[in-house]
Amino acid sequence: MTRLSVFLTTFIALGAVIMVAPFVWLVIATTHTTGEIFSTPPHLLPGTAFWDNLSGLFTENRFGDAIRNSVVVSATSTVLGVFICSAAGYAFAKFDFPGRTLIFGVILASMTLPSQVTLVPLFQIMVSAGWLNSYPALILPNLAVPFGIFLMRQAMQGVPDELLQAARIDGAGEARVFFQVVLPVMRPALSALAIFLFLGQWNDFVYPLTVLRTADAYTVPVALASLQGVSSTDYGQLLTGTFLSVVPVLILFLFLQRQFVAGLLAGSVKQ
Amino acid sequence: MSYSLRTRATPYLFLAPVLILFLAFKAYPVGYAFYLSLTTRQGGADTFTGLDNFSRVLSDPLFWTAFRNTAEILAVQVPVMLVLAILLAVAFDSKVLKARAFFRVSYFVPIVMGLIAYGIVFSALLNYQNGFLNWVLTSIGLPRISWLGDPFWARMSIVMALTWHYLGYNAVIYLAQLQSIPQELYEAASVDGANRWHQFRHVTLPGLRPAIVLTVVLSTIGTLQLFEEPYVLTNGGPDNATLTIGMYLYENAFKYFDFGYASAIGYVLTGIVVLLALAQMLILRRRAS
Amino acid sequence: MHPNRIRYVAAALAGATVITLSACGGGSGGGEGQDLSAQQTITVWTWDQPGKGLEAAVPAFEKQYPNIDVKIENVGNPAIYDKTTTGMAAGGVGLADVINLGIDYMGNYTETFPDGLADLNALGADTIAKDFPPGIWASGSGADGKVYGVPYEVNSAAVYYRKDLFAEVGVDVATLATWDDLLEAGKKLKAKNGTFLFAMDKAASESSSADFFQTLSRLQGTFFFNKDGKITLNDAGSVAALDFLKRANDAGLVADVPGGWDNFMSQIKGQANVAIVPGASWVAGVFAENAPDLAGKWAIRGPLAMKPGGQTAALSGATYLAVAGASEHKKAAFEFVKFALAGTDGAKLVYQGSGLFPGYMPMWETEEFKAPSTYFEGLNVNEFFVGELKKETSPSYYTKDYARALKAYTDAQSQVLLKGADPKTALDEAAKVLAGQTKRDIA
Repeated sequence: MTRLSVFLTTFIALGAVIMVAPFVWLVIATTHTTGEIFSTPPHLLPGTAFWDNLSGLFTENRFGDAIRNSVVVSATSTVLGVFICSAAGYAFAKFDFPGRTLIFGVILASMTLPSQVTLVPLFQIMVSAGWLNSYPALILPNLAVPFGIFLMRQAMQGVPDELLQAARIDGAGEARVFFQVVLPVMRPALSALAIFLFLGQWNDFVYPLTVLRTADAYTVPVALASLQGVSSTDYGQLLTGTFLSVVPVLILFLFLQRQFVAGLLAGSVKQ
Repeated sequence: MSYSLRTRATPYLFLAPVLILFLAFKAYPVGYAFYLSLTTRQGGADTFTGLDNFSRVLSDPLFWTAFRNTAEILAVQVPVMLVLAILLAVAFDSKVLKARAFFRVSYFVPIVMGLIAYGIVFSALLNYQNGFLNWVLTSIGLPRISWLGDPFWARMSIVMALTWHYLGYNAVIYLAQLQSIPQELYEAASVDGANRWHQFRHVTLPGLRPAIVLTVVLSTIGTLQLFEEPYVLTNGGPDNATLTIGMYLYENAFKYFDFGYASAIGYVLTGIVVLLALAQMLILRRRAS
Repeated sequence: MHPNRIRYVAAALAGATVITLSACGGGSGGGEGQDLSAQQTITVWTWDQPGKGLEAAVPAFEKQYPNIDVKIENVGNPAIYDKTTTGMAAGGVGLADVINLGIDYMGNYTETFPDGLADLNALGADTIAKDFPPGIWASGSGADGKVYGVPYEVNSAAVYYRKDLFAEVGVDVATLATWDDLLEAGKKLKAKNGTFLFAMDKAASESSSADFFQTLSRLQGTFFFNKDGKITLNDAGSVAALDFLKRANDAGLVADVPGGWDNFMSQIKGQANVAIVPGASWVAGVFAENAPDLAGKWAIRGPLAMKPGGQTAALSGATYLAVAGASEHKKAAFEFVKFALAGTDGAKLVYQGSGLFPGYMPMWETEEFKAPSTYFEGLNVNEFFVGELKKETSPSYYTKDYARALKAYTDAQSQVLLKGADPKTALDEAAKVLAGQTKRDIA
């Protein structure tokens, strides 16, 4: 290792300790009972309550259902959302058409209106549509995410116009250009988008809380919130549930971050 | 369909799903919120009161306190975090760094931790009497800091928590954008004898421009709506030192059930963002000419 | 423009998916819905602990009414309020048949959303009113005489104190008369071994930071509002209450402990180094599990008086079961509420399941309810609190602006405890802000 390498790695490692420390605390907390978690001095070593916390979560609180619901909902809206957002981003970045600036501006401006004031009317829509307690209620409003459209628009600006023209001259239709030329070179940005869409849906709390009505339909954050009481909260179970909710996202991230390998685009432009 | 019509229709076809979903799930809520912003609930019914809510916002001292706090956090936190995130992304992209995959995941962990755990962990860290940070301070001979009880430090705590929470998130956006910078540009620069700083300045930064625009806009909007951190850490206190616009809006809607006023605050917020965006465009245009 | 019109216009704009928005107008309310004998399912929204109590009453209820299926949904607290508020603001739609609510939210829900909750008198609540403490019953009723909630859990104020620590300075807290006496004892204790008298969440990081002040105010017969709805946040009693907190704080007797369960437990466990915990009756139930080694060292007494000969009891919060105004099963819903909360058979099951102190007074007299506590050296804790609840207390007027008042107050409290502001000045300012926001007069 060069001196620079040692220095940089050490520096990044120190930062990583700060980033991960709360997570380590969380992992240790999953092995303790509520009483032990908040004792002073804090427990720095694992305890023995992990299996009790875990079985409490799954038998008393239907946490298995919550994980299933969250996985189905998040995976579905991620897959659909990636296509929908990148198609829109592509249109905004690579086409000149009447209303482009206006439509993009309206979508972006809608993002600035806090969700707390649009929650009630959105709930009314779901009541009218008869979708309370259903997957569509959770998925459909979370597909056209302004953030995702914006992300893809910015990323698509990096795609060279020559690449598209070359494909069109070769006789490729617009759909083929998008699916077979644009999307493959966008893999890093699509991975980032997928991570963020999944995360956004996975962590969404207030809106699912309002439209879900029975414990078997709860998503993970709603199930975790139901563990909170006034004079009694099982923090052992609560933190174990939080830990379990972190793991799938980290696995997904670990899997997708491989796409961030330098020079992906360089190769394809050369061809 | 003629060829030219098809070409003209192409972008709209790509946009179609977004437009349909937008009209179905955004248009009514956005319009309804606007209608509410012109009403006040009196005797159990929404009564039309014109622009009353808006003039109330403008003369509400708590709104301006919240505005000032939000602006201060915005001015300090966003630039610091984004600069750190760019440097981090460059490091993550560099072969000089060892164990890259491991570090990428480490910095991403905070964004995944749920709100409840986040609140518990930070109150344990920042507790005055037996919190971890004060334990560190006292053990190296420094006085304790009232992290959440002192107005200045309460704001700093929010800034630290925000940076911890979103640094990795922004680094991932930059990292994705870095992949679209052609390797040839770096090679050409090094042939020209550019050192690392020059490469960063003249190749990396221009290449990151779209992502920088994105993150600046997103972080600005996100911070203007800032809600979670004050909600779990300070409840807006002490004495409104960390009351943000997002927090104040939530209180008006879900604690005071004053949805009309909350909607007006939301639209004032939108107005501020639109003004900022226009100002930014003007400045960029002037600089360009 | 009428909201329904707006909805039509918006729906027309939205075009696709969204149809028949107007149908959700004021909810499908009106009428009492299905008859008791019809086959039906009712849903109850509640949270962890009260949920366990209601769950325990379900089998017996369903045996009595085989045609009614009761589903208890544990929503969590505070999540239940955001969920309920959304349904109320959407026009009373999408709510459960029965909703568990805290006393602090009752006034705001019933005044802001008058059709959101059903008038229980129309369902027969007037016949059970006599079995509940009048002050608590009144807080669940509207000014118009309608009844919106049946009391579930009731709490009275209490003082938990460390007998062993006070003994070191020769003080028996049980014999003290006023808070000022306790303050003097606290000074001795602080000088002797550095123990704080009590803890406060000085930066008001949680809404519970005002609990102690509210007890001190109630002991003087005042609260944030009076019965005419005028602001009393800065009256003589309120100023005296905050002044007491300031004097204790200035004497260095107040530890700064933020809100939250873990921080509260640190006081119970003796880690926060405090000699008293001013609390409510429910707190008695958490000692045995959380501070087993301090058994016999903690003791309970009722609140002290603010002035010699003053009031020595105060209520401290309550929860209610309410029935949604748009419920199609109002009769069945109320029947379940009555069974669980207003009859000895159901109330016993609920008490066994939850351990929460019932508002149903006949329950107080039953044998099962009276059991001596080994933790508090054989004291009959429930009997003690029954005694407290029977003492003379003054009603607290929450109104729909309670949440605003609470915020105005906690800001003032932080100014006093952290910046040394003058209590009178800070409360006058808070009252002025509140008056401006709510268009109410200052009494």
